[in-house]
Order: sequence, then C-alpha cells, then structure tokens
Amino acid sequence: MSSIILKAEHIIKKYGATTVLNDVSVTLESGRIYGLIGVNGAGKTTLMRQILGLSIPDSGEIELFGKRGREAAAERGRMGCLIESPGLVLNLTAKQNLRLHRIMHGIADKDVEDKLLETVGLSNTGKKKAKDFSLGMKQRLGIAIALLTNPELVILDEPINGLDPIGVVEIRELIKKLCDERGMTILISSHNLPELYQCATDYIIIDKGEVKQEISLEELEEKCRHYLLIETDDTEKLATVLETQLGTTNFKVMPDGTVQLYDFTDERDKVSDVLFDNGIRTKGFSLMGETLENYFISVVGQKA
Amino acid sequence: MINLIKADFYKINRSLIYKVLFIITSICAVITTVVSHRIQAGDMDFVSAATVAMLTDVVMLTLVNCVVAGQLICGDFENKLIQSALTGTSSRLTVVCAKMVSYTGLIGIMSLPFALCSLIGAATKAGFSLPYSASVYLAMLSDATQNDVTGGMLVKFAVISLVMVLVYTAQAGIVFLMGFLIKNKPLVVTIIGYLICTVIGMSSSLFGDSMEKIMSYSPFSADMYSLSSGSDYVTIAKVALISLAWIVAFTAASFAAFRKAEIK
Repeated sequence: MSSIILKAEHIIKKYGATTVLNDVSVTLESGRIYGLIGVNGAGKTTLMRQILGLSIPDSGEIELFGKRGREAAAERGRMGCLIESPGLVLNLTAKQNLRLHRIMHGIADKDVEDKLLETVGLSNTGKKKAKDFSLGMKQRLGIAIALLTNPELVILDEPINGLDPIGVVEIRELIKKLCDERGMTILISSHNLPELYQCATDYIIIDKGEVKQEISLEELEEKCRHYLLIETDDTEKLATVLETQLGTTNFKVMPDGTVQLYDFTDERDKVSDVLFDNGIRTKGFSLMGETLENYFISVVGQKA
Repeated sequence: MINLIKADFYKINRSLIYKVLFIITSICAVITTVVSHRIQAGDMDFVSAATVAMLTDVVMLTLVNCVVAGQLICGDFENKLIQSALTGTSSRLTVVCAKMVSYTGLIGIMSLPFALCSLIGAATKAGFSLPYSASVYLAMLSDATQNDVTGGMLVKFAVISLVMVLVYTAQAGIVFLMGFLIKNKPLVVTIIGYLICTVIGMSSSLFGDSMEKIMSYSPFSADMYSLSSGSDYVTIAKVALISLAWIVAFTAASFAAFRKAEIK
C-alpha cells in the first residue's frame, strides 16, 4: 500500500526581488517515479534543494516520512540525491569515491560498494579515475552514491542531461529497475517531457516557480492519445460498422455524438473506404491528439 | 561527526596537494635546522641566513595553512562533498565542527616536520643557534643546545608543539571562516586569507603599544611565538587558552555564516 513520504506545503523561495518558488505544494507517495518537468529556470532544482535542506525556504513547510521541522531533518538519511552534477573526487576511482561516501555516511557494510558498482554497470572500471570517466559514467557513479544509504526516496536532478541516446536509455532503465526491484520512490527532474515519458509514473509540471499540473502517466497518455475523430449523423450505424467491418471496439462515442477511434490511426484510407462502402456519410474525419511536447507547451502556456 | 572526519582523512590520504604541502614543510624544516646548525658552527653568518628566513615555521605554516583551508573547505564545496554530508543526517553545525577538527589535525601534520627536526636536532647534541625570532621550534632547539636535555624538557617540548598547533589553527581560523563565506573558490580564499593573516600579524607593531596590548589577547600576538623550554606552564596554558577561545569563536562565526547559507 502506498503512503505519503513527502509533503511540501506552500513553499515560497525568493532570491532578492525574484520569486523562484511561489506557493509550491507537492505530495509524493511511496513506490512511484515522479517526473518534475519544467523549462530551464522553472524552479525544479530550487524545489529539490529545499527538500534536501541545501536551501531554506522563506515560508512553507516540508514533511518528510511524516515528520516536520527538526525531526524531518533527521529523516534525510532515508533519502539519496544527485543534484546537477555528482559529488565526485576526480582523482579517486569509482570504488574509492563510493568508499569515501560510505565512510561519510557511516555505513559499515563494505560489500555495498561492489554491489552498487554492479547495479550501475561500473564494476569493470578498475583503477580508472573519475576524471577519465565519460559524462554518462559520472552520472551513473553519482546515482550509485545516491543509492549508498539504500534510500527510500531518491532525488535526481536532470540525471540524463547531456547524455547520448544510449546513455539516456540506460539511465531510464536503471531508474525503472530501482523502483521495481527496491520499491524506491524517485523524484527525477527534466526540462523535457518526452525524455521522461514511460519512465515516470506521475508528472509534476512546474513553470515560473508554480506547479501548473500534477498528472499520472495514464492521464497523460489519455491526453496525448492519437485517434480518428469521426463526425456523422448516424452514430449507431457507424459503431456497428466499426465493430463488424473493422473488427474493433477500441472507440468511444462522445456526448456530442462524435466518435473517437483509437485504432487504425495509421490506416486512415482503409477506414475511409470502409465507411464509404457501408454508406456512412461523414461530416468530419480527422486525426486528432497532442504530441507530448505540444501538451507540455499547452500546460505551461508558451508558444512552440 | 567522527564519520565526517574519517572521510576527510580518507580523502586527504589520497590527495596530491596535501602530500606536496607536507614535503614543502619538511624541506623548509630541514633547511632552517641545517642553517641554524651552520651558524652555530660558524660556517654561515646571520646575513646569509636571512635569505632563508621565509622558510621558518611561522612564515611557512601561515601560508601552508591558508592553502589547506582553501582545499579542505572550498575544495569540498567544489566537489560537493559538503552537500553530500548535509543531505545525509549531518547537521550544518556538525559539518563545521568536523571541518575544524580535521583542519586542526592537518595543521598538526603540517607542523610535524618542524617539531621532528627540532627533536632530532636536539638528540644529536650538535650546536644550534637561533637566527630567526619567527621560529618557536628553532627556539626550543637552541634551548636544548644550551641546556642538558631532560625528560621534563622533552615533555615541555611536546606540550609546546601541541600548543603551537592550536596557535596556528587559531590564526588560520579567519581563513577557515572565509572558506565558509566564499565557499567554492579555494584560490581566492588562500590568497585573501594569507594577505589578511599577514596584515593582522604586522598590525601590532605598526600601531604602537595600545594595539599591541589588544593583540596580546589574539593568536597574532608576538607573545605566541615566544614559547620556549624556558617558558613556565602558566604562560603555556595562557597561550593555549587564548588560542582555544579564538578557535571556538571562529568555529561559531563559521557556523553563523553557514547556518542558512545557500549550498549550490
């Protein structure tokens, strides 16, 4: 059963006259992957830094694992994070960097170093120093460090920023694996909604320091679903033809009498021919649905 | 806090810059000890020895300790180790205190070559003079030359060496504070810190008796360098207490600066 592990309530953060976070409230439930989406400067990193205690909000409160105030600070040990770039000592190897953080966090189990290197795919780096790592390797090592304390909540700030397509897929798979196998809750930020698509289970869209929308993957898929919009005077006959001639029930009759057909979006000619052959006169026949980018832009209210 | 200190020393052990600094202080300690011996032996005059006055413990450790503060504090802001500590269960006060303990330990390590050279010099029973006033360790070595080395003298030698670590830490406390104020600019902290330490160190002689009296309660007072085997334990304790008070003050000031600071 999922439970609330983080509740940020009415967070306001100002730098001088600039309000970076304006009355931001978010709630995270355990075992889910939250995508925090916003353009550069939207307030994603600032929000994460408030949660992690690296910055102190001007007002508002953060509840961690059901604890508030000073008690909440003590709960930060149950969190792991990677904010922007990982905290690495460049003249140390991957294992030495992990050991440094293990000592810092007082973790006695030495085996955790090898296990984590295996998990993030860095077990074969040997004596190679972090300064010689590729960006993707550094990010993976940063994720391994974030996982050292076996956290219940992992906060990752743009971990796929600057990675090549293969690196993006690797990190995405790793995040899904962590959530599935370890039951971790993950808050991951990105400025690109499609980048996190199918990785996150929930999305928080933030813009100009305000949360614009919280939406689940199912809801997002529904909103971005492509379909054929068919308008006709005889909706009942249309439904019958779709079922009998095209063999599909994957359509929805809308209150205004239009029909949304979710199959055959790439075979519009075939659908058109079948409707014509069965004597259905259409008043409208078009491909509808938003792309992820367009949906994101429509939420934040910016022109593409 | 102990975990943070252990982590500091794990990193220090594998860092080239601290090894280089230790080698530099070791070379300086050997050179100043050899020069001290050569003057006593009549192989060198005081004028020639003046060229190596910049290598004495007082001058060198002021510089080295500024570099150490820059690396230990700002370096950890740069490589985000302080962020990592804070996002664990360590409080900001714990981080500042742990850093001060590590810093004091490092200053002790950097001072070690001067103390060891003096101790080895004293054990050789070769003659040593005191060519520079700015060297507590050479003063102790010179004392050992003029008197018989006894157990009591060795104990006092060890106590003064430890107290001098506190004196140097207290002096460099201002650089420690700057590290938490400026955060991720090690070079800036080192250079400005060294300039400030030097100016404060000279100010007592520049502004006369009243300033000297005020400075006598600070780690920058010339009295702090006047410890020798001839000093009584009350004087040594006074120096230790003044230094400790300043270390506590600089730690508190660093915490005040860091308490609500934005950590990038």
